[in-house]
Amino acid sequence: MTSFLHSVLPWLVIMTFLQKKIQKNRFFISPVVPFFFVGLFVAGILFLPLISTDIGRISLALWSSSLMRSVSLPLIGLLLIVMMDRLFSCQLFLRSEWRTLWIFGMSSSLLLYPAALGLGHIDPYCWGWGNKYFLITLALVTLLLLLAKNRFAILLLLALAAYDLQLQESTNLWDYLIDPIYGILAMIFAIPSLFVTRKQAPTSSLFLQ
Amino acid sequence: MQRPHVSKPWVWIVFIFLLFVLSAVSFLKREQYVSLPLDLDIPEGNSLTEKQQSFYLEEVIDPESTYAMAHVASITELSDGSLAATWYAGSTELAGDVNIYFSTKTKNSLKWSEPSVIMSRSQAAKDLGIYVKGLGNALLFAREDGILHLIYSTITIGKWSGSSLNMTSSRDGGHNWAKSRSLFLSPCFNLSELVKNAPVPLVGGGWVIPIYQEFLGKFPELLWLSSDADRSWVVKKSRIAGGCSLFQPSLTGLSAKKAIAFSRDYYASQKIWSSQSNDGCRTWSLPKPTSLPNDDTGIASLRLFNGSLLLAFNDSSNSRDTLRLAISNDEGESWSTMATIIQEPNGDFCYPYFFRSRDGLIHLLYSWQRRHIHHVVFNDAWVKQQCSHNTPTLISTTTSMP
Repeated sequence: MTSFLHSVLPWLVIMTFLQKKIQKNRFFISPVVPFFFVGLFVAGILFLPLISTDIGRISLALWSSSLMRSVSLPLIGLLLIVMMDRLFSCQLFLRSEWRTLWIFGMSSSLLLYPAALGLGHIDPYCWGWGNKYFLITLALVTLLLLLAKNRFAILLLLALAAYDLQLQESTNLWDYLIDPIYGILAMIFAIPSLFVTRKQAPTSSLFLQ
Repeated sequence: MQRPHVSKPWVWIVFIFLLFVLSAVSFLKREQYVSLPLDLDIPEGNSLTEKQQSFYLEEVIDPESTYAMAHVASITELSDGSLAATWYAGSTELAGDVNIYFSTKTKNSLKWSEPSVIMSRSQAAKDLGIYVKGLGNALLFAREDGILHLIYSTITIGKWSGSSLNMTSSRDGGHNWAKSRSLFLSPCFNLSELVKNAPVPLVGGGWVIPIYQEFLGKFPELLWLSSDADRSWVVKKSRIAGGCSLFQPSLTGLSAKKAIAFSRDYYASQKIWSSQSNDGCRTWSLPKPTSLPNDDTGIASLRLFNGSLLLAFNDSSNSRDTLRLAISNDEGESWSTMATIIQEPNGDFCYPYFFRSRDGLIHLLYSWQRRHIHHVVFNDAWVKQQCSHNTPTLISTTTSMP
């Protein structure tokens, strides 16, 4: 499963940025284009892990994601949501849900990364190994979002499920909730997302604009 | 724009039910971390060790080596009393040709076995399924069951700050090694975790291993491992101190709940720092400098049977040409230098590593001019004898080249 996630991430990133560029071209307005992209995506997931690099005979998919060993579920979710929006005009997240996603990413990053780099005596990353207060807080946040019918809660549920099923090598719950790429994106988009009005955000996300 | 409907109440009720199920599973998983043993397993001397004659020996583990650089050694004991050592060696630090070497010495043998490569860059890449730029610090340890455990660092990007820790084990005395697995210990791309000093065993199985981070800040940490080798290792981490200067901790258990950690200092204090824990390494006092000098070099500590602390260190503020032992009879509050292991002008004798074997002997490994790994063996009686001298005693100025 870890290698599947490894092979998904590079493709999600490539496809997301490729779509943005390619859809500006008139040639790609054809209705078959979305299906072509989905086919390419599936082919990539199937074949990228089979192409070996010279170094240690590891697959190209693993090589490309050697640095990004654990991918958070919100990052995979947000890239898939962007793809769905771009390819099929299927708006899975409302503006408020994007805002929740960015604010969750920003607050988690601010809590986690400075301390993980040595700021202070307390390391919140250690809470990811079975700290009951951390689990209770996460469950409460998810419950509140579910009661508010906020779809970001579904990503948190998926992260919890991935952690329970140990779908990645990491045994730390934080690695299923946040990663540095999601953290950086959240730091960029969280504050502006607070000031976007309904009129200014037809596609519900600054990320999509 | 379409928005798929998930607005029916029963859908959200299902999600809430799922949340309860998943949270319950998470709480069940939590048990494996909570049930980790926390008491330190402190070896005690017996009447046999108390009657021992003073003993001291120095030898070279890799006398016929052809590599240009050898560094960061560790040693442990197999179930039959044989010794096993690892270190990394190659053309230079961080080079792609650096391998992790392994050698053993059986109980009655006079020589160490021919060093063999137990981990190479390509093997690590194959095992871990990642790009590996190079290999680095390795730590070998075992309990009475004789299963050898190896924690080693792989570098994916940059220099030491781009390293991460991995683990493998051998059930046949180091002939065959299991497929390595990565230890995920940092949220920042899992980078910059390193190991150097000896682990402390836990009562009931398991280990607490001093590790350190050196990405933007350098600081000492502890890695906790369960002992059950048949299932996945339960791994978690805790912190000795934050900051950006203290690293390469050496952990020594003083009693089941009491421990002391000494750290190397990267910045200007030029002192060895210490921190104490009275609750089984869960919380630590703020680090304070000791009277011993440290020019950003590795240290190692060990508890003697009489409760005194022994520290191996470079006794200089500006060089690594003197490797000395210091002793403390008040749990690290005050120190006196006791013996000189080696001293040569412009020498480089560093990265000491302490280990006590089951027969009570104390083993000290160190990097000799970064060319060879030297092995010093002595006992508590020898330490007692050295302490009877008032001034530091020069034990060896040997240039003991093979």
